[in-house]
Amino acid sequence: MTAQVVSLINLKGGVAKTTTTVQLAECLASEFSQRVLVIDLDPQTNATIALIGEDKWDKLDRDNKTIFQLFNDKLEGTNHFDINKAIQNKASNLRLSNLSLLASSIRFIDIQDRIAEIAVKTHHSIAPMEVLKSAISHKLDSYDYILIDCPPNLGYITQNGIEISDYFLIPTIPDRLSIYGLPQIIKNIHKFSERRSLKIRCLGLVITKYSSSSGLHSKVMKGELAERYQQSFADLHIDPAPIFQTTIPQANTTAEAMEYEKGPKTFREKYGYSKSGDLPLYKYVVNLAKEFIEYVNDG
Amino acid sequence: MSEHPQNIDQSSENNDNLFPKLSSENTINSQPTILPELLAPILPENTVINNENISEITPIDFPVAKSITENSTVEIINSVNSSEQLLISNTSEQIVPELFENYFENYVNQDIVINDLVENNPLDDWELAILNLPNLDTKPHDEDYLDNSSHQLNTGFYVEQNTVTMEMIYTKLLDLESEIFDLKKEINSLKHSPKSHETKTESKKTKKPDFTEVFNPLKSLRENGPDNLKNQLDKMTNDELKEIIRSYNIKKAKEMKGIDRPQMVSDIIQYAERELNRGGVFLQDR
Repeated sequence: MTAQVVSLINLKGGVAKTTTTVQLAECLASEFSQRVLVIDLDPQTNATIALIGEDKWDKLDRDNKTIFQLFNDKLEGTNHFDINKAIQNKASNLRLSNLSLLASSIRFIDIQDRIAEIAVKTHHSIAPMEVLKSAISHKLDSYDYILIDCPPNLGYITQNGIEISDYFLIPTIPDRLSIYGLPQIIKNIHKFSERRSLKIRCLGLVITKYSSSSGLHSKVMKGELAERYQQSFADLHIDPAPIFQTTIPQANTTAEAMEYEKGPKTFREKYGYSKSGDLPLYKYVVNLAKEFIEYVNDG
Repeated sequence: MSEHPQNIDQSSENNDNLFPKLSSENTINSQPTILPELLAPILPENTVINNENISEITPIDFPVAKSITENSTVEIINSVNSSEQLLISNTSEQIVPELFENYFENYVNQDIVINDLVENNPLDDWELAILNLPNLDTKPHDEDYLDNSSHQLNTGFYVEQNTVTMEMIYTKLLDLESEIFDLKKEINSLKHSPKSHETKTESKKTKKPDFTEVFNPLKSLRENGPDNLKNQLDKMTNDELKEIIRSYNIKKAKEMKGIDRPQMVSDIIQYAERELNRGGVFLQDR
């Protein structure tokens, strides 16, 4: 059975795309025993650092085992990148044998504006948005889920993720700035998938960093968010995707969970037993993963 | 309220303190004050309160009559001065204004000397002060502070610049009576409740959920079919699957060691199918 590939996308930075990617990956791997691969397409490299730590990333980067090398090979006509060696098993400080990572690199920033040149450099054998697909397509059977952490734009790097994805998931904070670009995300991905004859669909919208004490969050959640989101689908005459019932609360523990060096023993310990609302923090992640599985299975 | 007598120093620095601690030298001078508002709420509208018509007032309903007709109130009032007439009818839920009048009149021309009992108790602790009222010494009052036009209806004690009116004492008595009534009820309920040693205390540890109540694979299979059962199981965590297996005794504990997720899902589905088809062979033969 081929993996279900999901890209996490939002045009705005800081909406917990990386955190949601890592949370879902670790939860699916540890609590549901799923084989998960995380592909870090974001040149900021945060998911990579969260999953393998800085030291290991530095070694990978020096050994040309990051996604940067994959793209750079196409630009420079070299052949250093080997997907089998680049994928790191037992990622995460939870030492999960079924969680793997394809790491990013900060050096990716240096070449991100040159990716369009790949078509010319490869004599149009590979389109700029097909680089990742060309490398990973034969690995899809090895995983149950592939989660792609995308940068906060819809440029060529993100398009590489969209190209191989079955779904895209939109994490957002329930405030005005974060939901501002929702229609643009949905419209642009829809147009891109039509143009490229892709099967990608919206899996849903996840509310992150929710603060129950924030009047603005409550107000946006009750009104503008759903309205703006549903209208985006209506304008395109396509079926709306759900808003996840599980909202990830704003919590220090969640931010601290991204610190690789902390070294917790279990998933629950990592995401915290302390309560936010009625539930311990780890339970929000479990519930999010349950909904995630449900929507993917139903899709 | 009526005006305070001339000997009260209104500019005292303790003016803001409503109930200053009293010394043993403090003297409460019983004297009537004009309190038509005390009786106004319980009298018919437009009733002119004066000496002539007061005796003609008939008993009327009083808003808190139910609680003050309890025997305990009467006992407390009696204990203040056994010679006093009862203010409240012991048999009806009404206050008799004539009895009020008599009661207040008996305090006219009397001084109440605060004794040692009150000395060590702050006067704002009214419950204590009132409970100890029987210990107050009373003596006839030889000064005439009375306003003759109103003394039948009102009375009050003056403690320096602070007035301790009968209304305040009476209100406090009602409060006390209410508390006593509640306490009696509580004691009665305790008497009739199961003994404390029979009551089990809840464990502080979080109770593990009983999955036989949360999820029934047999029911799920019967109602939704095998695909839906599998979908439901796919959404469960490894721990939840283990709990189902444990709760339904699908596998022994030692068989659970090292079991993987696909095997757990498979075991639960097999269990549900087996249970659903139980007795099927028997029926087929007949």
